[in-house]
Amino acid sequence: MDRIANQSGTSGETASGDVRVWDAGVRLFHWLLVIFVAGAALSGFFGPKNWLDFHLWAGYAAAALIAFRLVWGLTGATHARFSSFPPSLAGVRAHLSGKHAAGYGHNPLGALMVYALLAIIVALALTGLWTLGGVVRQGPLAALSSYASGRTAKEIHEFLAWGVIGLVALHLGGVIFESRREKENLARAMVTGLKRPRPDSTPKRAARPVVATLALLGLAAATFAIVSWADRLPAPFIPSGPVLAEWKAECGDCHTPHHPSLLPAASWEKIMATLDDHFGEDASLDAGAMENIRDWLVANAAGHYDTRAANSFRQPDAAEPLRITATARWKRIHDDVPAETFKRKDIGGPVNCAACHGDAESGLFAPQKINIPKPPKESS
Amino acid sequence: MKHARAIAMAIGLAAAAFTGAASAGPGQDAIIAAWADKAKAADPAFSGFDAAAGKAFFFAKHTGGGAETPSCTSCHTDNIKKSGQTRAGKAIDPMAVSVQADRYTDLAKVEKWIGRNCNSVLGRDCTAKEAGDVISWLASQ
Repeated sequence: MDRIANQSGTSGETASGDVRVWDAGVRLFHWLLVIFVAGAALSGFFGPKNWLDFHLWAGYAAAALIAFRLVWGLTGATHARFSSFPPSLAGVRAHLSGKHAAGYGHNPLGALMVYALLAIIVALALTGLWTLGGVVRQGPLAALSSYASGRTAKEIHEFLAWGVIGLVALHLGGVIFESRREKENLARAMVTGLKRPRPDSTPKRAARPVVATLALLGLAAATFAIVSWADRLPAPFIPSGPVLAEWKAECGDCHTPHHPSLLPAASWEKIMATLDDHFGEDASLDAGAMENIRDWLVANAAGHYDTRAANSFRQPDAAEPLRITATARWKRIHDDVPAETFKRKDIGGPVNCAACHGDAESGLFAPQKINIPKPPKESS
Repeated sequence: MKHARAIAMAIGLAAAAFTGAASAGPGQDAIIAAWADKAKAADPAFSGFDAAAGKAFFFAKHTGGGAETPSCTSCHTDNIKKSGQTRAGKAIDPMAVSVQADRYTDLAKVEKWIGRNCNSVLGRDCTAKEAGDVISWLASQ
């Protein structure tokens, strides 16, 4: 009977006399969250730009865990339930003055930490999704957000990332302090789920795994439906669809064809009017081809799009308005690439976006598509 | 013995030269004929293209063009059977017909690039004779 009670998560005694406090759901949730938040934080703070997918999956996984925990807080066993550790200022005051008797579950200060961590990770997931939509122009919010709002979301996301690090530090401090005070290893209790017997008046609640599973399936279906709907929303401010074949062929003869969204219309007009001296090279076209390409460039210039690239280069450099790489913004974006890399023969200089940006022709410049090739082996 | 080797080598070279010259297909011949018409129009005394002169012109250092492009070899490299690279980093297909069969088969393309590149390398248009010499040589390689 004891084993069955333990497995269902109610506080039953084990053979050693210890009591099952944290059910498997709480423990798995806790340690998986540690892994995914650490993965998201490490890749976010230290990872190269093209690790974005790793960061995204760590974030999605953390968000899914939070969804599970919110459901489990209503359907889990005794000490998993939110009702067993309601936020309470009076409780916190009693706890701080030492009057609160430690039960099995979260103490009032620990309870606040649980809610703070749940809330900040939800906020991180939402601002992360918004950044992905507005700045990177991917994900379910791509069509629903603007670049400017995405930039704001990114700043909040980064601020919250520091916040979660601060909360984790406080949490660890609290665990160490309480472990000493209660003379019980609380970190080990989160592994085994067991604590020493003590007085506890929390009403026993059985876990409802079937209800939890149904609720999570419902949430998953709803998420799928919302994301599918959002994916189908039109987003004319994000370049998509076919490019002009003539542009790709003619401009692409000498260099990466630069997407029209990378320069304002006035710059394109000037470039196409001066092809006989195109950055020191004669790139003349016959009048028909020149006009076709010019008209397409002007019709799709930076002013027509709300991508990161279009926003970055919409305002050209005052001294060299035709040269994308002359802008302060271009230089700042690329300041982590050593100058020697651009000088490499196989790279072909900063003008050759496609050397490292696998999707340069689309104008999207997704972080995942960045790949600085390894220098080729020296051969005669 | 020595003579026999020399003769064999000479025969081999002649055969190589013959097959090389014969490698210009009908497409290339039509392009060369079109440039011959231009050359005749410019100079009634024109009597045919000179592949050796074209080769010398291709490798020569010229003046009057861009500082970074004094020669055809600035971008096409001095090995016409290998890929070159534009100043902006894009690969250029080899110039020799023996490794790039579709070279000199599209008159508009040849005219476009002769027009652009002569201006970049010499700072002027090439004469029809100069261009025809170079095309004749490249089409035979």
